Amino acid sequence: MPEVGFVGSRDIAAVFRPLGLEVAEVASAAEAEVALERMAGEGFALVFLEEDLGIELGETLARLKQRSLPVISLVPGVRGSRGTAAAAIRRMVERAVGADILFKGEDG
Amino acid sequence: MLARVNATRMELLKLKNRLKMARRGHKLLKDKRDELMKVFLARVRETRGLRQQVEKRLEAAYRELGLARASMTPGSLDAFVAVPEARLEVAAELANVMSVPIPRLRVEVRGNPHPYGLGQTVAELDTAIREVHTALGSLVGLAEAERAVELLAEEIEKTRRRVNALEYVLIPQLEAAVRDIAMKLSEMERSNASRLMKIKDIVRAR
Repeated sequence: MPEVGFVGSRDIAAVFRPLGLEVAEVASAAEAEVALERMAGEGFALVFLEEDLGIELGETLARLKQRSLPVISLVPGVRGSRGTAAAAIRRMVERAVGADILFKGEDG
Repeated sequence: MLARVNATRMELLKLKNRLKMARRGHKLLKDKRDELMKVFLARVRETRGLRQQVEKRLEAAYRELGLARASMTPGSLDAFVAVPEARLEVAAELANVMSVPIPRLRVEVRGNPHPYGLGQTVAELDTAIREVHTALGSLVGLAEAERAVELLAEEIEKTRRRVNALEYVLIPQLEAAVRDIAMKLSEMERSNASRLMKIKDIVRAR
């Protein structure tokens, strides 16, 4: 049975745990990497990763994206969103279209 | 490289067939690229709205959680939620969009997402959890859509490269080779005709 995981700081883990997600409370990017690798190895379908950790784990994420599952999604940390995911989408658009056609002139 | 082939009719026929095939492939790939682009842009728009909505909701949930933490004994909140009573069930499958396998996810919370006595905790904790609970569908949809955008972007890039390789390399090369052979063949024909005329003259002169 595939599962859904959450990797992030203790501050926000409390809202995810009661919903039945498997929570890995981590204090550093290195710990988060270990947790992500474990969840990927155990066949998780979806892992939510705290944005601040995702920023530091660019390489690991790129590697894990070679596989179709788990889907790794960034959720904002306790200090709010830093717009990483939106920026990533913008990069994808540039890559696919060859030009930034959708977001031109908006929000930086 | 392609230009150096034997100037025979056989070769000419073969090259013409290859050229036809390349043109057909080019057209098909171009159609594929356009269709992928359509799906891609739709998913991109979807992610934008969802992302903003999800982040707003989560931030609201975190605020409530912060309030809850502040009004309870330090550390006790985490203890109250330490043992979940709910299970998150997830169904994952791969959907085929223009031969790109894209994961589709559906989740459902089974059981009680508030695993604590209501008397010992503050209402803000309930609100925070409820907020995330209702946002969960959007969260999963967002994860799925963002992943789809990634996969589609890769495929579009690949397809575009192929289209360009056909359009700017293979097809012009084949066209040049066909032209080359056709010219050589007609040249051979002309030289043959003039040779025949010359021979005729010599024979007549005798």
